[in-house]
Amino acid sequence: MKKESGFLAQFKDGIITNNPVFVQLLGTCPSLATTTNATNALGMGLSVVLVLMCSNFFISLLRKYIPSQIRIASYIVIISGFVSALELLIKAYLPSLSNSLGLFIPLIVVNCIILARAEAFASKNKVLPSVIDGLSMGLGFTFALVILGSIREIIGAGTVFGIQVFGSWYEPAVLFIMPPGAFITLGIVIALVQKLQARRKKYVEEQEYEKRRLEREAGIWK
Amino acid sequence: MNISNKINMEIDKRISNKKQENFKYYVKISLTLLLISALTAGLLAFVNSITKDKIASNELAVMENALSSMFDGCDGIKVVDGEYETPVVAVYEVYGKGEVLGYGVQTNPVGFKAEIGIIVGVDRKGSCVGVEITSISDTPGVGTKVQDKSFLSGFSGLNGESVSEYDTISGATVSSRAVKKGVEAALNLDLFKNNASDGAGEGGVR
Repeated sequence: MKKESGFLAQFKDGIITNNPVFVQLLGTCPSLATTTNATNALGMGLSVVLVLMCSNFFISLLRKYIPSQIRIASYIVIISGFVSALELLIKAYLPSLSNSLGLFIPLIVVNCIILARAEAFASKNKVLPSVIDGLSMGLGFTFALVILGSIREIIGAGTVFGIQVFGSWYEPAVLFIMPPGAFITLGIVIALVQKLQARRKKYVEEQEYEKRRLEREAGIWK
Repeated sequence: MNISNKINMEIDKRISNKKQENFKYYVKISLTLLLISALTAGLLAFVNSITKDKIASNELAVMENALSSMFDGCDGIKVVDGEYETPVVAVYEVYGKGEVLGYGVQTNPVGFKAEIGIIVGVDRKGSCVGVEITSISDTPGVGTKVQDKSFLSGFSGLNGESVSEYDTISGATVSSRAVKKGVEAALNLDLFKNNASDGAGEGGVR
């Protein structure tokens, strides 16, 4: 039971409280560039999930055999191996996705989320928690990308996942599909997340203050 | 043997030990890195062997789809071997009932951001029967205007000379000029000039 709650905590950490894009601000480049529509964002996110799980698995498995002086080089070789394999598979079985993501699939190699998780988690933890960490961080990345992609697609094209949302009266604001729209959307979403987190923190602090005040009063009355 | 000699010998021994340890260490890290790289290369070779044919047939399928919508009765295509000047990448013969109906030319002219993938259908007399865009990464809503039917269908019937008169799209000048350049390069291939002078009649060299 205790183990399960540990995994749940990992998921919550990866997707919400420590979201790689909105909170850790890692991997900003692909999250700006590949979120022109929700489908691309989902494709990119799931590719990262796959690479992150595979690389975390192998790095955690080999963590005792890789000397610390060459660990970064080894991690990069392992990660780039998986990314290249994934690129070939996507080209073969999902050619339309490979067309729309283009260069950003090979660029997953230098995506800092993957190296960060390898260095900060997989190289210090057992295999199973590392794979779960890869999954949860990857899902957090996917979640963030799909939110950004959906917002940009709805405003910039009037569709989401290619399905028409607004009627023909809607004149799409093309700016939102272009790079400036990416920055504007990411900025607003990060601001919202920060606001929500600050409010949550304030709420927790107030609760604690209230508790202490009650305790103090109770002490006086004694 | 005096004391200082003994101390010197001891120091020498320790240094050589240290050197040996260093050497062992370097061998160890090199071998580890070599092993990891070799395993990764093995994985890639394996994935490549699975996906190679599929990727090649995907590219051919895109070509075949585009060409069969341009040529009525197209039932197969075949690569024409040869070296072509940029932006022409490849030339395919289009077959229908065993006869050559025309040609499909793959060109990749440089657009506003990156290369635009274009397939040009050319009949045996050297005039254009259709243009299709397979990949474009120009500005959405601006450069992508070149994908409009009205622009692309205007190329039909033009030949290597008359295509230079074709109007580009205002507001998408760079992208549409790139498409026009690609079509022009395709229509002006030596292959078609030879065919036209065989006495194919109108649409040939005037």
